[in-house]
Amino acid sequence: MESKLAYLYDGSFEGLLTAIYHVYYDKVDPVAILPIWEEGSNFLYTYKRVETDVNKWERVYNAVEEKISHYSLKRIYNVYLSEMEDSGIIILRYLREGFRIGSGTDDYQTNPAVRDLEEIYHKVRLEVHRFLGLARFKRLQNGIFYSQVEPDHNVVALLAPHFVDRIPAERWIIHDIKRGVAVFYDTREWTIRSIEKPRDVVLYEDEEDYQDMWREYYRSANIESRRNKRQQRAYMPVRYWKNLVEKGD
Amino acid sequence: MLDTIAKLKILSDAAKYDVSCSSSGSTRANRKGGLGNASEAGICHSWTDDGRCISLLKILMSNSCIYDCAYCVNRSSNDLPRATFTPDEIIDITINFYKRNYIEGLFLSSAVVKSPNHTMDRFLEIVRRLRDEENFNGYIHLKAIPGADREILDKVAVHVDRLSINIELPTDEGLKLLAPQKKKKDILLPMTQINQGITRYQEERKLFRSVPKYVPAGQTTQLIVGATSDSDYRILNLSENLYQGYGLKRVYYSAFVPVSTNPLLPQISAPPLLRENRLYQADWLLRFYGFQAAELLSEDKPDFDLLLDPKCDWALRNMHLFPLEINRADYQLLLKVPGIGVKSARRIISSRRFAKVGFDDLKKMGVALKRAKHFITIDGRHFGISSMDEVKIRSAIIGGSPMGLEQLSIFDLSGGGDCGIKTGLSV
Ligand code: SF4
Repeated sequence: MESKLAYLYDGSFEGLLTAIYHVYYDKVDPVAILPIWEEGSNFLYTYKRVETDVNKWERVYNAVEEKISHYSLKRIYNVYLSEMEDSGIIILRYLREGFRIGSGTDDYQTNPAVRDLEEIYHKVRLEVHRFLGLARFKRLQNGIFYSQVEPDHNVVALLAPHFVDRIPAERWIIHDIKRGVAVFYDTREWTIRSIEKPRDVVLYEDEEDYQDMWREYYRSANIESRRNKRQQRAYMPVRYWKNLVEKGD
Repeated sequence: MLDTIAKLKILSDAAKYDVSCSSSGSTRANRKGGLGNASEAGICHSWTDDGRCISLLKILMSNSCIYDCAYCVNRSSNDLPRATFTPDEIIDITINFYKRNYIEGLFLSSAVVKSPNHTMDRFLEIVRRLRDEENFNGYIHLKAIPGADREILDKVAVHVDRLSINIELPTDEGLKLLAPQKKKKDILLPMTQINQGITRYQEERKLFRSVPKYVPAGQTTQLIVGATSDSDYRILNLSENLYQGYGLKRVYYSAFVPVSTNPLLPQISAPPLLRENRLYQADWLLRFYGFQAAELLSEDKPDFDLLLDPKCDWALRNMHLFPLEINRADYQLLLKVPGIGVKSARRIISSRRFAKVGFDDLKKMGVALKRAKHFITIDGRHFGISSMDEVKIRSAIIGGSPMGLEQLSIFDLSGGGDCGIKTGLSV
């Protein structure tokens, strides 16, 4: 049986673009493009590692911008951040169509490659939108506003600009504890870094008062005679509840 | 003295029946070093057990009222715990909730404390300090108190995003019966003033950029449905007048929730949610589908059929207009076909330029053919019940689809239908 080729990259967006460069250069048709830690997860695959290389990924990056569109670049970046298993190969198939069709690619909704990409893109954007509302901050003793989140996709970097706009004069952190990465904002600029889960967080003295008020508000805003838990869960999936002040423990 | 949390319990409980929690429709860029931005899309921060979105901190400043409206929990004759927030408390909670990303902003209303002017003066202090001292750029929706001086109203208006004045009861008779201290003209006067204010400030802003925005997200109102015997027809007529004569952005409908056992009020066990939903659908038809209230209902047919959406209901009473040829009918007519919405009507028009539209194309464009097929021909062919008999079509639509009453109560009754939540409008 013919073995199936899977490319491996270092997990970065640049690495993914480098892998795509190689696919074109090698003139092959891989079944998957995966981050390095997926190596060996499927014994039908033959794996091929690529080294991230700025000359290579920049070529792809610029080609997407010039031949398709800037918006298209944004979309593949979002899809990359989905961290879904097939996102790499879906991006490749989309780019193949994109380089063929050109700037009108994203209007071509009946094309399966465009549609597959669109589907994941929507999942990521939906989660970003949800977390604009669902990220909760608590004030720590040192004055920093700290938010702990566990999103399905790797979205913290996509959340940052909104919160820079919203709370520009405070220092804050949005920490994805599932992935160990966080956005730090120091009232001037934001950076993204990997961090461990903080051992002991000491809260600002009045923090719990505001949390109590919020829980009280949340309870009394409900209209019992209109109870509709199903709708509540459709909009606010239960998996997000544990980091919500009004829902968690 | 009550502590803040006890006040919050009392004063949010009393405010929650107000449905207009939408925070969209206004963009306010953050001023340098300020706090917050009013975002266009509207952001929900949580959902309560009733499935409604929490976007704004919706509270009363006070529930100690000098008036005695029968339908209202806060009426002076009602025996209940009373509370009043100080401006400091409201400002502090708003800012701290906002920084923790609990809310998009503040929706403040109040019972009438001491006098309308006194209450509005307090409001003014709160919104002015929020904007000027705290540099707060989040969303503010204020419920103005009818009967206050125009000067205060104008000052308040330049600090908020949206103002509303609740009409509550659709007719003068209703007011006389249930809210004898209120007069329709007292309610309508400030609505006129706000409408004039918006126009005046827009004119002035053209000349001087420094003129502040006057309620940039417009004004809205709320009507209670089911507290009086007013028909859907009267309610819808009123809404139409409000949109046309007062330039309102939205009219909200709120199914009457029995909160008091006054003998003047109807004895109902559950709020009329389905009726509320029908009114939202009809309201939609007024605003986006070119319908008029008098087309949808009349003195002889004053209420909607609860089993059908208002457009179907209308179409079945106007069978002489149908079937329409989908490849010829103009945009306005297409909009009147049950099962065709604004989007699909546009798609039909634009793709007709290239080729004739067929059955499968309509499906792909999002037309609900189960309903639409009875009212259209596609290139001369009719796919619905051939006799065009309205009774048969009606039962085919009600019974033939899983749109029974039970289903509707689950999917279509999103409880208010605002907050950016879709009303379950079937086009
Ligand atoms: S004036 Fe308003 S708060 Fe006071 S009793 Fe009437 S409806 Fe209630």
